[in-house]
Amino acid sequence: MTKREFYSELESLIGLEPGSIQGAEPLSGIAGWDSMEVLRFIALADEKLGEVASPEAIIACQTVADLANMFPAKIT
Amino acid sequence: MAGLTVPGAAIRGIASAVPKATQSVEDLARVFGAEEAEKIAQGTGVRVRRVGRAGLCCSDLCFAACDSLLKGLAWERGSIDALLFVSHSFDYPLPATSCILQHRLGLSQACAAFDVALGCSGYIYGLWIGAGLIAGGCKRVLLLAGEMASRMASPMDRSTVPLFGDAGTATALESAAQSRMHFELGTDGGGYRHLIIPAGTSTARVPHSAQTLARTVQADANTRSDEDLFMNGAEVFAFTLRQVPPLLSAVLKRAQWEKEDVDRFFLHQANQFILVHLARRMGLPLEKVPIVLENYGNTSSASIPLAMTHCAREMLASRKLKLVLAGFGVGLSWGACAVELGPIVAPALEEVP
Repeated sequence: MTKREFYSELESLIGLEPGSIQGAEPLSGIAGWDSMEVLRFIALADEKLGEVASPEAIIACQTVADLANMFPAKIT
Repeated sequence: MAGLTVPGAAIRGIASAVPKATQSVEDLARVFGAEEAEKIAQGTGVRVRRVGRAGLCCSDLCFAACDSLLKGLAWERGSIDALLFVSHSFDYPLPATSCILQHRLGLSQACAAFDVALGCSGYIYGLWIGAGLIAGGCKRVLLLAGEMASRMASPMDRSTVPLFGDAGTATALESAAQSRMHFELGTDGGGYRHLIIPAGTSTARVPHSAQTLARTVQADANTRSDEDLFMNGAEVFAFTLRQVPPLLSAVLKRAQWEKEDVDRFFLHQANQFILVHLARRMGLPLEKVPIVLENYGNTSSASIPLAMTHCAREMLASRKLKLVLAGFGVGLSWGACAVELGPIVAPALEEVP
């Protein structure tokens, strides 16, 4: 999966306009990024990447790009 | 673990009981606001929970279910060799609630009775222990599983109180030469902190005190005390995804079943979002994965038998079925059982005032 495809999946997940995520956005500034979205993100990574994301690693992420960088083998 | 197959034990009946009183999304709206309450309900799938009145114990619910079941089976009370009470909701810190239930149910004093302190996986562990007791010589075993889960959560904690409800169930096991039950079980105590009541009784690692009882705003912005349930939802979800798909695959392999052979997968009713995702991940049609927690919430060890009696009572009572049951959660602990059963006795739901 490319980073652009991953960002598109995130846009759908959070209900953002297509193309609105570029990667540098701080997660703390994204409306709707809450505990429920973290669960949905874990489900997304499981379904689309076959990876069970570590909640600790997710909490350590500062930006959207950090989320993508959790899966270097799956997101290029 | 290892998996293992226990020969010679059959499920003869299952009954459930819930409190008559309910709490709904509208009740939660009074605490969290209408928008937040609705958002939580959409995420969890829980719209109504059964919540016991003050003074109602889990043993009361299990008693009601068991009394109904024994009448339906027409089993002599003196014929019961063992009784297990699977719960974290004991009548007293001491003695074992199962002993009190032996007396209340009028069972023989030759009946062995003991408690098993497990939650989400508890029903599977209970079936495994019960089947093992029968393999060891018992003829009839009662498995009582339930929880007053609603009482474990702080009423001001949006991460827990909207999710949990109360229920008690009874399952009758009997020796049966041709029957087999297949099990896969496991434990990861390294995850114990993710679902925990951190403080409480005088013998606990952190004993009860005025400090442990005080409800304060926590790092997750929810208000609870150390004597309230804490759940790290994300860690529990990640654990579920790591353990449950391989668990289901392993028990199917042990039973030598394909997933298409199975009539129903009764999974612990943790949360609608988790159950829908698991079904999709395993390639299971949703009609084979009943989700009933809309009506009851997460009832811990009662959730699997409650789901069975809620939506499959007629099917259970009328024909032979291939079922996979799976419980996973607090401990962290997990277990699955593949069992062919039926027809069995499945009385109507008891509602306890």
